[in-house]
Amino acid sequence: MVEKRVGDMDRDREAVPLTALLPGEWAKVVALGAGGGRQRHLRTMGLREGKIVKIVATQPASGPLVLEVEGTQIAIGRGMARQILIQKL
Amino acid sequence: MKQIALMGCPNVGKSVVFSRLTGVNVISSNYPGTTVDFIKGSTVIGGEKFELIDVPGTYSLEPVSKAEMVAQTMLHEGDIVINVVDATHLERNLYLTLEILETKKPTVIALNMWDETRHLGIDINAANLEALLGVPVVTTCAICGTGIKELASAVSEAVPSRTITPMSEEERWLKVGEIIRDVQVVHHRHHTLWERFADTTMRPTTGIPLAILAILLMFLFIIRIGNAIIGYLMDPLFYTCYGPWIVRAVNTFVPTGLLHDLLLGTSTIESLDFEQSLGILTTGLYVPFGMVLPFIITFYFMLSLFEDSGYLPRLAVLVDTGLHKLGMHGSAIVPTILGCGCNVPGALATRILETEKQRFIAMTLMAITVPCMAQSAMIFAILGRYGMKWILIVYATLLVVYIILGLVLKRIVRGESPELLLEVPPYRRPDARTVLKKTWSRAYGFLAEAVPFVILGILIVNLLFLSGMIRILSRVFAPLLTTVLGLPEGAIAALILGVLRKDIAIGMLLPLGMTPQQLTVSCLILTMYFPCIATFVVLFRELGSRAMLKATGLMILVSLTVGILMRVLLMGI
Repeated sequence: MVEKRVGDMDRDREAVPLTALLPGEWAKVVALGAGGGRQRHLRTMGLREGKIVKIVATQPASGPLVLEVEGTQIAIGRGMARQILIQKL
Repeated sequence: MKQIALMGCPNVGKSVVFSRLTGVNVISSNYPGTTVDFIKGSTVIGGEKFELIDVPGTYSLEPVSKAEMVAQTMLHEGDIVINVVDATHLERNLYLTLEILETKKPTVIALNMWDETRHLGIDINAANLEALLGVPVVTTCAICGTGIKELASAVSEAVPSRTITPMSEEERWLKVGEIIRDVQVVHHRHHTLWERFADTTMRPTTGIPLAILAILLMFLFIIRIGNAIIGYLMDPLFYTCYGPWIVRAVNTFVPTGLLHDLLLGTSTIESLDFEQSLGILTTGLYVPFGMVLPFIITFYFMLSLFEDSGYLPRLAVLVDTGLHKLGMHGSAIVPTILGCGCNVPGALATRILETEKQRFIAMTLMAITVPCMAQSAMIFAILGRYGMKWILIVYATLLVVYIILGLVLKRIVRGESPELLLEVPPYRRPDARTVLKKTWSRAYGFLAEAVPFVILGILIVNLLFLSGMIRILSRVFAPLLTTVLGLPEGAIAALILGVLRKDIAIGMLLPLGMTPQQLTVSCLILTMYFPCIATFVVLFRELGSRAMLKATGLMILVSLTVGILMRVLLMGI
């Protein structure tokens, strides 16, 4: 078995939309998506590139999902969540 | 007088710091956005008088909403800044702190929720933070009051930061990272049982049943306790103490004549009648105090518990999917619930919605379909006599209209309906004193507004009857009322009064001797056809004349349509 370096592992795990994450799963934020104003707003709420997030709950019928990042819970619409890219851990 | 601007992110306990510093009666709650209207107070620190301004919570100085725009202006007008920082979320709070320090305003930092950091496993070196930021840092726990004295005395030491200089957004985040590495250590800890339970209130499978249960319990509680207060306190008070006394007193000083009739109406010592006598000192006081106030108090008590526990943002998440279909998003549940108490604060609270479209829909739906607690109390009192069935018909009809009208408005109103983006703060145990204080100030607000208007309303009704105007108006509107809606022509008096206040208007229906079917149709029309004057003024200010005209057209159209439909359904053709 060949040991991979950390960099390789990062490349292996492809970035997927936040909506691909199931409740209870953990992931690392890669990109926040479109719009400078929205990005800044998300960062100041605590959701930043490199942070570890968990899905707390998802609402049915394309409803919002609730994520947790460093002890802060944020409810976010499905459309916005689709633009946020993550790597599953 | 120097101005102190109290600034911080949403949910950092800023409003609690404010009320600790001023001692003034302010409403501070867990829901992001309820302090859009800023609050001022004065405080004396070290012999000098300051004006303290509670600036709306904002995540950064680059505004994304109206409230945050206000925050930015207020920072520039202030002489000194107290920046309240949530010690349990230091990292994301520091971004705003750096932005404030870059403006070179003399600043003091309140490191709030300090008591909570320990059991969350967060270790912060406050002295080190003070050195890095170059301004005084005071640790506080606003809820328990520790550190507030030290914070006040630190105001005189407020200085422009010696270490922080203007930088770009990217540099700012790097700086935040640097500071965090230097001053904070987080120890790992497991989720507590309580936190696990807290999460279940947001999962659809468990959260929705819990929400329905919570709202049902709230309603049952309001009706049961409200009725108990009336039965055991208000009615004995009015019928055995106040009633005989006031009738005797008025009879002594003004035994007969117009003034006597205005004051007591048709009440006599043998037959005390508070509901139908229409005297200023009988019905005029019994309706607001004896029939409505008990429900107002219980409603606002429950609402304050809901707000301060932090449940409302969770409710917003649960109803978001549904409200999206009606052109709004989950946060619109907050103005709607406030509107169940009184439409005026409800309309003001729609400011937490981002776009004109959302606000128009939220305000129009509320004005048409959400009865305020004063109105509900009267509906309970009058329809309740014929059984729960009729009350249920009224509320079920209103709910159906809310949904259908929302579905239609979403399609025909132009504009954007953005998605929900909302911080869900942790549950907190409501503070008994704050809850009682809030209940009292809201109930007082009701009395201050209701009593003068109810008395004015009764005066107008008496004048209408005495001058014979009512006969003319009855004849003019008779075709509409009797033929189209199946109501007695006397109902016109209630409809005229309803523009002033809804509670006394519903009270006016009693002497007409209507069937429960007719009462149900009347209550529905009174709810929908036009808001009371106080709500109208606020809607006009918030919506502007053109949108208000559209909303008014909708009100008349919807109330007539529903009135006719319900007439046909309940009474046949």
